[in-house]
Amino acid sequence: MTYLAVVIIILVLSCLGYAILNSILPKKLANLQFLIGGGYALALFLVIAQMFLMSLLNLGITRMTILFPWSILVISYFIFFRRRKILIPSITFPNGILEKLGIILLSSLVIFVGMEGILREPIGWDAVATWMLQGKGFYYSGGLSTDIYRYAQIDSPPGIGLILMFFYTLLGRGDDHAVLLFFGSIYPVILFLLYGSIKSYTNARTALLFTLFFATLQLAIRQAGRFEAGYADLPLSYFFLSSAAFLLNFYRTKRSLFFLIATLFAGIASFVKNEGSAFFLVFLLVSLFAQIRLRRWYIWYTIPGIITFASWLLFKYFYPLHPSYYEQSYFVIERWDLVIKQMFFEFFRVDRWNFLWLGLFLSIFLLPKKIVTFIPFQLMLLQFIGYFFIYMVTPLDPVDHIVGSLDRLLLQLAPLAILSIAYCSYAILKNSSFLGTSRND
Amino acid sequence: MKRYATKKILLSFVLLIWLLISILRGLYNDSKLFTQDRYLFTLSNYERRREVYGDIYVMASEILKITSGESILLTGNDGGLYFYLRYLLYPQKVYWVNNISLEEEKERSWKYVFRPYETKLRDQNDVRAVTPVVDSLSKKQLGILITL
Repeated sequence: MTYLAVVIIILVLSCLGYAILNSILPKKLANLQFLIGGGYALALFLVIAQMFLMSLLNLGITRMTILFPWSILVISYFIFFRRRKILIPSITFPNGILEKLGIILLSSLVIFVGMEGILREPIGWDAVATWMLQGKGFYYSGGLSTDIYRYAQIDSPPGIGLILMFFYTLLGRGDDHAVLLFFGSIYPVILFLLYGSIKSYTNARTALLFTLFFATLQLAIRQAGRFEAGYADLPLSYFFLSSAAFLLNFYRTKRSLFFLIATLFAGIASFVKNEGSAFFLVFLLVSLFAQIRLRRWYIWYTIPGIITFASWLLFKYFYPLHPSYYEQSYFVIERWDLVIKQMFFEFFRVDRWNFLWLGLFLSIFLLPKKIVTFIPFQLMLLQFIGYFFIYMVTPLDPVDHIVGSLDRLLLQLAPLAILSIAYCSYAILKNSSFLGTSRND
Repeated sequence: MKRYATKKILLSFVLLIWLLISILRGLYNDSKLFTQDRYLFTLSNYERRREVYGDIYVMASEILKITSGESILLTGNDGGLYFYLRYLLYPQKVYWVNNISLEEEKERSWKYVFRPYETKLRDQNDVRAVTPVVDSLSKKQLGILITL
C-alpha cells in the first residue's frame, strides 16, 4: 500500500504541475511531452519551497498543514482557469515500426527502473551517508534542522531531504524503501522533457532516438532505481535540463514567462546539490548572452531565481553548517595534465556512457560554430569548466577524487550533452532517411 | 559537397553503432528482472534487507530490540559499518570511536557500547549487561552490546 501511496503522490504532483504549465504558457509553444516533463519540475520546486518556508516559519509540519496550501492552489486553479481548456494527454503512436519498437524499449526501461526501485534498498554510499539520512533527519526533527547537519557532518543543500520529508509526512512514517520510487520518477520525466525539447527543434524520430540514448545510460538507470537510488545527481540533472529547456524556448519564442520559469529552476538547483549554486551563476551568464543576442533585456525576470538561490545562501550564513572540506583547498596549477588525463579516460568509458561523449566531441568537430551558440551546450561547457576547477583545488588526492566522483558530475550534464548532439546531428542529417526528412516525421 | 557527404557518413555511422549499443544495453537491463533479480521478488522485507545489507542489518535489528532509544557508542575500525549503522538506526544516534578502552567508555557516561565481531570481554567490572548480537538464522555472533 505504501508504494501505491507514493505513486499516487507522484502522479498528483505531475498532474498539478502539468495543469499549471498548460494554463500559463502560451498555447502551441510547448508540446505535450515538454509540459509533462516541465510540470513535474515545477511541482518539485513548489514542494521544496513549501517545506523550506514551513521550516523557517516554524509551522508545524503535519499531513494537514502540508495539504492545506496545495488545496488552496487547486481551488485557485479552478477559479482562475475555469474557462481554459486543458490539453488532455493523448497517446498517439508514430507510424514507423522502428519508432514503435523504440517506444516499447523506452517503456520497458521505465518499468524496469520502477521495479528495481521496489526491489532494492538504499545502499549507495552517498545515499546512506548523506541524502537519505538527511531526509530521515528532517522528518524526525519536524523540519529543516541543523541538528542532522551537525550529527552527520555534512554541508549538502536540503532540497532532496525536504522532498523526502514531504513524502514521509504524507505517508505518516519514515518508509525509506518506498520513497526510492521518487528517484525512479525522475527518470521518465527526464525522458519526457528530453523528447519534448528535442522534438521542438527537430522531428519525432530524432527526439525518440536521442531520448533512447539517454535512457540507456547505465549510470542513469543505476541512479533511478538500480543500486544507486537515493543519490542527488539525477534530480540535479533534471533541474539543469528543465532550466536549459525553458531558456531555449525563451530564446526561440521570446516569451518572458519561459525565462522566468527557467530562472526558478536554475535557482532551485542550488537547493539540490552544491554544484547547483555554480550552475545558477553559469545560467545567469548564459542568459545574459542570450539577451544580448536578442537585443532585449529581461533582467527583472531573474529576480525570483536570485531570491531562490540567495535564500539557501542566507540560511547557511545565519545557521553555519558543518564546514566544507573545500575551505582547506587551494589552486594547484601543476596538476592540470593529470586532471585532463583522468577526465579523458572517463569520457571514453563505453560501459558507462555508450557513445555519449564521443558523439559530443564529434558534434563539436563537425559543427563548431553552430554548437557554441546553442544554449544547452553553453550551459554544459561552462559548468564543466567549473568541475575542472573543482579538481584543480580539491584537497583530496585528485586521481581518487576524479575516479570517485566524475561519473556523477558528468551524469548531471548528460541531458544537456544529448540536447546538443541531437541539435547538431539533425542539422547535418535532416534530409537523410536516417533521421527522417521533415520536422513532422 | 564531398566534405559534407563525409560528415554525414561519419555521423550516421557513429549514431548507428551508438543505437545498437543502446538497444543491447536496454534489453540486457530488462533481462535482469528475469535473471539476476528474480529471486528478490520472493523475499520478505526483512529477508531482502538482510540480503542487501548483510550482517549490518542483522546487527541493527538486534540492537533495536535491546536498546531503548539512547545513543550508542560504536568501537572498532570499520567505517563502513559505522555509516550503515548510523543510517539504519536513525533516529537512535550512533557515535564512532576507534580503539577506546572500557574505562574511557564509562567516563564518557555512555549507556550502550557496541563492539562488532567481539567474542569475549576481558574487563567486566561495572558492566551491567553484555548481550551477544547473534544472527538468528546463521547463529553467527556478530558483536556484543555492552550496557554500562
